[in-house]
This record gives sequence, C-alpha cells and structure tokens, in this order.
Amino acid sequence: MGLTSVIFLFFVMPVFFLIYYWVPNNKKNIFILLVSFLILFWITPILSFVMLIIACVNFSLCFVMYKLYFLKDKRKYIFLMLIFMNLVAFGILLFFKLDRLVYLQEELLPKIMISLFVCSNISYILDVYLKKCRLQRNFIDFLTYVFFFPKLFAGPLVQYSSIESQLKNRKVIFQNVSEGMQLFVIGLAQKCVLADSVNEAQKFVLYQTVNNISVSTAWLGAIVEFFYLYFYLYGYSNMARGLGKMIGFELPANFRAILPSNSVTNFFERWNISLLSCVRTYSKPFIKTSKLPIKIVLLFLGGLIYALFFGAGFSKCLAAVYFVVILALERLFIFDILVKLPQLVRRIYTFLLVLIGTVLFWQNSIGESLTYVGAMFGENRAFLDKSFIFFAKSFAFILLLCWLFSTNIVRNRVVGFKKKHKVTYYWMRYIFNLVLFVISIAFCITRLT
Amino acid sequence: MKSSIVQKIYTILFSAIIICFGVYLTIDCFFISKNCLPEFGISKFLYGEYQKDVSECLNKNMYIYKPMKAIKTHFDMLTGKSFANGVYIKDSSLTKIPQFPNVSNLESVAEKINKFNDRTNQPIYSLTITTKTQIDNDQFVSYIFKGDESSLISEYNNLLKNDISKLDAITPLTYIKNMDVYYKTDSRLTGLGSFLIYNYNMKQFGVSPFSMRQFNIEHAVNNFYGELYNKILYSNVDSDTIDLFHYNGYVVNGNVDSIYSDRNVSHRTTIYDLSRKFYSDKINIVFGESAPIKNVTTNSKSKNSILIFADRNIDSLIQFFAIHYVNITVVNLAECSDLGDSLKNSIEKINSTPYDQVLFAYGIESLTNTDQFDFLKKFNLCSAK
Repeated sequence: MGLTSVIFLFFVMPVFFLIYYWVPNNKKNIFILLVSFLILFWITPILSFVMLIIACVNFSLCFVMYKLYFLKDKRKYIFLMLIFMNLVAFGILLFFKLDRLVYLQEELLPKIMISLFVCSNISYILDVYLKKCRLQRNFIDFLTYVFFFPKLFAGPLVQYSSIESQLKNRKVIFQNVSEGMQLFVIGLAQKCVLADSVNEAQKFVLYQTVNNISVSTAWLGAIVEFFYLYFYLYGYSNMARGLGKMIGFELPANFRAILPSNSVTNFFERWNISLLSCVRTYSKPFIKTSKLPIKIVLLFLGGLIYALFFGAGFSKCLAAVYFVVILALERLFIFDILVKLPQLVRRIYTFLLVLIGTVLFWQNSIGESLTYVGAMFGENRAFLDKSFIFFAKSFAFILLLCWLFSTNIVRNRVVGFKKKHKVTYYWMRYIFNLVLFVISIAFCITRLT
Repeated sequence: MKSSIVQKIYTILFSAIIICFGVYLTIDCFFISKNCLPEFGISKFLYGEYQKDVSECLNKNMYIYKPMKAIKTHFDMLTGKSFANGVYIKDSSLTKIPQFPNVSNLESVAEKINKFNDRTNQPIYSLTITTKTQIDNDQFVSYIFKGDESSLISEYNNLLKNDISKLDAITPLTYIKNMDVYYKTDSRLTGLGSFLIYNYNMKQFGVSPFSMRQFNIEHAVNNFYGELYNKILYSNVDSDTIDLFHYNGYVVNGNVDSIYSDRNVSHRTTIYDLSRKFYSDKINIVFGESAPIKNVTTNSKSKNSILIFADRNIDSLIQFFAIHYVNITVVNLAECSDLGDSLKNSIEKINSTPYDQVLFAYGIESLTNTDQFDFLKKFNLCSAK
C-alpha cells in the first residue's frame, strides 16, 4: 500500500482525514502514529517491529546521552555508539536484503524507505547531540516524527529540528488544506502519469539487448531513465508535502525544475535537496575548515551517503564517484570555463553528464553500466535504427510532457496568465486539478494489471 | 474573494470524490468483492501475499475499474502509443505481447514429455501453436516482441524424442494471407485457424481430413470481444465473429462431461455450449467452460480414441477431431495440478482406457509454465486396443 494504491487513496486517506480533523489537538499525534504504523505494518509486518525496536533504542539512548551533558566524553561515546548502531542496523537491513520484506509494487521504494527511516533517526540523534533542538521527552511525538507516513515512502528527508515545533503546535488552515490537495494531485500525476508511462518506455528500451541497440536508442533509454527517476521521486515528495500540508505540517521541497541546471553543481541544488541539505547541515559542525582537500573529502562523503541512500550497490557507488569527480572538477576549473559559455551550452553540458550518471546509477552492475555507456557512444556502430523511431513515436508526447514539466516554461506561462486573467486562472487551476486527479487515478488503477 | 470561493468549491469537490469512493470501497469490500477477497493466513500476511491479493481484488472489482482503464487506453492512443496494458494495437486488431519460454523451460517440458513417451505404447504427437505475433509480423512488432517463435519451436521439437511425431502449425497458418486465423480481440485461434491446422496435419494421424467445402460455417456470435479487448477497452477495435464448423456429411453429436473433480462433473449433450452466447465469455460457445478434464463421446463412424493434453488453444480444434474420433479426452494439466488428488478416480479411468493416440497441443507461451507437466507422472496409460 503505497501512496498511489487504491487502498490508500480511497480507503485509508478519507478515513484518516475524516477522523484527523475530528480528533482533539492533543490526540492528533497519537492518531498519526497509529495510522503510520498500521500502514507500515501492512506493507512490512516483520520489518515494522524491527523498525519500532530501533526507534525505541534510539529514543532511550538519546535520553541517556542528553542527561550526560556534563560528562562530555561519555556523551560523545554514546553519540558515536548510536550513530554506529544505526549504520550497522542499516547495513544489516540492506546486506541481508531485508528490504525484500517490504511489500510494495515499486522496486526502488523499499530501499529508500529503509534509508529514510535510518536517516530520520540519525537526524534526531545529531540534533540532540549538537543541541540544535531540545530533547524530545514525549515518546509518541518522537515516533510520530520517525514513522510519519507521508514522508515514509520516498521523502523528503525532514531534519528533526525543522519539524520539532510542528510536532507540538500546528494549525490546520482551510487554505493549506486546499493547497495540500492540489500539491498531492500534482504529485500523484507526476508519479502515475509521467513516471509510470516513462517506466513503460524504459522497460521496452532496456529489454532490448544492449549489444544490439543503436546510439540513438541508447540515448533515448538514458533520457527515459532520467525522467523516470526524477518524476518518481518528485511525485512522491509532492504527495508527501501535500498530505503534510493538509494536516498542518510544512515539509521541505525536495526538487526543483531540473532542466534549467547550468552545471552539475547547480543540478544537485535542485535534485533531492533535502538529503544534500542534511549532509551539508550536519557536516558543518564537525568540519570547520574551508580548505579544498577537506571540501573534496566532504564531497566524497556526500557521494557515499547518496549511494547508500538509494540502496548501495556497486553501480550506485560508481555513479556517486562519477558525480563527485565532476563536482570536484567543476570547483577546480570547469566553473571558470562554464561561466564564459552561453546558457544553452551549459545546460546541454549538464544534461549530458547527468544522463551518463543516471545510466551508471540505474544499471544492476558496473559491467552493465559500462556496456550501456559504451552503446551510448557508438560501440555498436549504428547511429539510428527503426526501433528508435518506433519508441520515439510511441513516447514522444509523454517525453514532451516530461521535458515541459522539468523546465520553468509552464510555470512562467501560468504566472503570466494569472496576472492577466486572475478569476479565469483560479477556475482553470482547480478544474485542471480535478481532471488531473481523474486521469491520475485511471493510471494508478490500471497500472497493476 | 472570488478565488477563495473557487478554492472552497474545489476542496469540497475533491473531498467529496475521495470520501464517496471511500464509502463505496468500504461497501464494496464487505459485499461485492467479498468473494474475491483472499482467505487470511498469518504466513500469507507475513510474506505479503495476502496484501497483494487484497489489492488486486479491490482493483479489479472496483466499479470504476473499466471506465478508468478505457480512459487510460484512449489517453495512451492519443499520445501516439500503439500498445497499452501488454496489448499491441494495429489496424483495429489486438495482439498480446507474449512471454516466450527460455531454453531451460523447453528442456524441462521436453524431458517430462519424453519420460511420458518412454512408458507409453501409443503413438504420441506434439503440436506447438504459435502466437499471433509469428503470423502477423510487421517491422514494428519485432521491437516489442522478442524471440523468434519458429526457431523456438524447432528447438523444442529437436528436444523431443524422435518417435514423437511433430506437427506443424506455422506453415498452414501462414499459408493464407489476410484472413483471420486468430481473433482480432483475443489471442486464440479462430475456427478457420483451427481448420487450417486440422487440414494440414490430420494425415499424420492416419485419417483423411475433410476440405472446407464439406463444412457448413455458422456465424454463431457476431459481436465477440475477447480477452485482449477486455485488457484495454479501446473503442476503436472491431468485434469478432465466432464461427462454428458443421460437417455436412452427417450430424456430429457429442456428449461432453466436464470433470472439475471426481465428485463434480457437469454434462452437456453437444460439443458447442450455445448457452454461452448470452454471457460475457462468448468464446466458450466453442467447447464450453474450462475444466481440468473433459471427456467427449461422439457418434463418429471411426472407432478411434485420442487423449489430448492441451491448453485452451485446442478448444476450436475439437469440433474437427469429433468427426474422426469416437472418444476424445482433453486434459488441461495446468488446472489439474491445482486439484491434486481430487481427480484420482478420473485419472485412473483415463489410465485404464485404451486410447489409440496421444496428442500434446500447447501454445508456445504455455511452455513457460513447466510445473504443470509434473502432473504427467500420474498418467500411466494401458496399452492400446
């Protein structure tokens, strides 16, 4: 039962909201926790209890760590032990492939879910250790943060300190509910209409033997993979933000329009922002120097965390190393060259490098990744073949939509329209949203068969 | 001010849609979909099977499922796609995107049939039926449908022992161009397709096949939409006609016993199940509903009998076999495998019947399900007459 499943959309969600708005304020967190845990229990009955135990241990040891504020050394030991313990738990969960015990239709979600859970715990430990927040004495509030169902599936990764006050006091405003609904529908459409359609294209392209595909088909496959990953994660993040807004939470944005990125560095300011902002925030207090070697080490650390977040694997580590090297090179000298180039060239440069990185990230092994990259650069010689024409024709419209919604073109046009025709804009916006909801539901329901 | 009114209308409408469906789904869960809801079991729940079955049951039985599926297909077609939900659409004809068996599947099936052949005295025949993609091949189709069926079939035939006669379905089916040998909206053979296979191969069974002129063709159903149509619900697809081939030499009568288990046997007095004309599964008019074992007794002038292990591809061929065999037993191994010992007596009866010939007739896709052929172990046929 993901956020796009029929059971969630038409059974859990209406029941949840009907009861949530009716429950008194002081009981709201208990209710969120109950629903979150029930969802988790439904999708992974065994792991849900393992996760509960991990959360309990973290809560208790953080309590001890906080109480030892006068004994700096012991506090540090407990802190290190907690971090180590969480990483070991994370390693065990992934090494023994326990993510297979998470019964979700999507391949990527279980790994991200486990990563998000561990990251949320570590975020709390770090915030308490760094005194960025007060110790959470309410066990229910802590569990609500860790198991909060909108962000449980694919993020965004929420730093504990940024949500601490919302756990205690939050208001449900009608306007926020309406905006949340719209954001949820947009996320649903991104996931079900764009990502799932593109996923279909990806399956067809990738089911061809890599050794036989032409250069153009290989690039098309890479573009398709890139858009799939982008709209998949972006869609889930928007759904989470929308649901959060409807119950008074303000979750951070996780993605921005990706195609206007004019360097790989700029790309990572738009891609999975919450994860990288966490890495940046939490690394600052520990590494206070601004020397370049340290920064590069930090980059590698960020890359490693990034690879781990998506479930480790050699190909993911290779992709992380690839991006870290590019980021380092950009800081060293590429930036100086890039600033002299026209915007379009910079965007093409970024997009091409990102596509190669996506291919490295997505394949199952390093060998497969390199073979595919080889095919992209003409290892199989043929540049164009009929299969490219077939796939391009079949998925042209969806790819066009993906391109449009990865830029700011639509947003800018809509803003311009709003200025000129305010009333029409509002009508159009809401009607469009409802139509989008129906189309998304059509895609969601028929996806499984 | 106006925008806030619109906002309120939107919020109320959105909530209403969600809540209405929520209420509907709850009612549906308790009353309508109750039959398809799986039985709860702790191990099934722990391994996620229960959750998966519940999702599938609710999804497929939702009242809005069909309209939503139609919306999606039409959206897909509008965006220039030529396939949806595993079905390829070309010139208002539908083709299933098939799953072909791999070499190990073929080896496994051939080994099991060879073992059966070793302990059987009767002559054994093997007919492997291609999918529509092999016959209706166009340049684009090959990008979606991977695998060369004719080479797969010849590989499979090579794995079978030499004393098993291999029948050919590709040559007769490709012989006539621009004729519907497969239904446009279903993946199965039409009456014509079956006739062509029958006419081309029957001599190998030692009987002379009749020509097309010796049959009266009845257009039994004119508005048939098959399983492929139901997968996509695309309105721009033409309906099919289900043709029945009546031999004009004499009236072929057949008593059919559909055996679901030793204690559950249904009987009808014709090969064709004409009552199906008025149901959604009109295709079953040809040979009735699916059953693990079907026993057909005909008024054929020949005294021969045949045991056929087959999937549902064989259904439209039975009308032709009925002219030449007085006793035809059709065993659907895939369905038998699920029933285990509840067919014990029926299988004993088959084992004690002196059949003259044995035929294995499977669509190439059925060979992916290798487990069904394990059930062949239960068959130890007595010698022929």
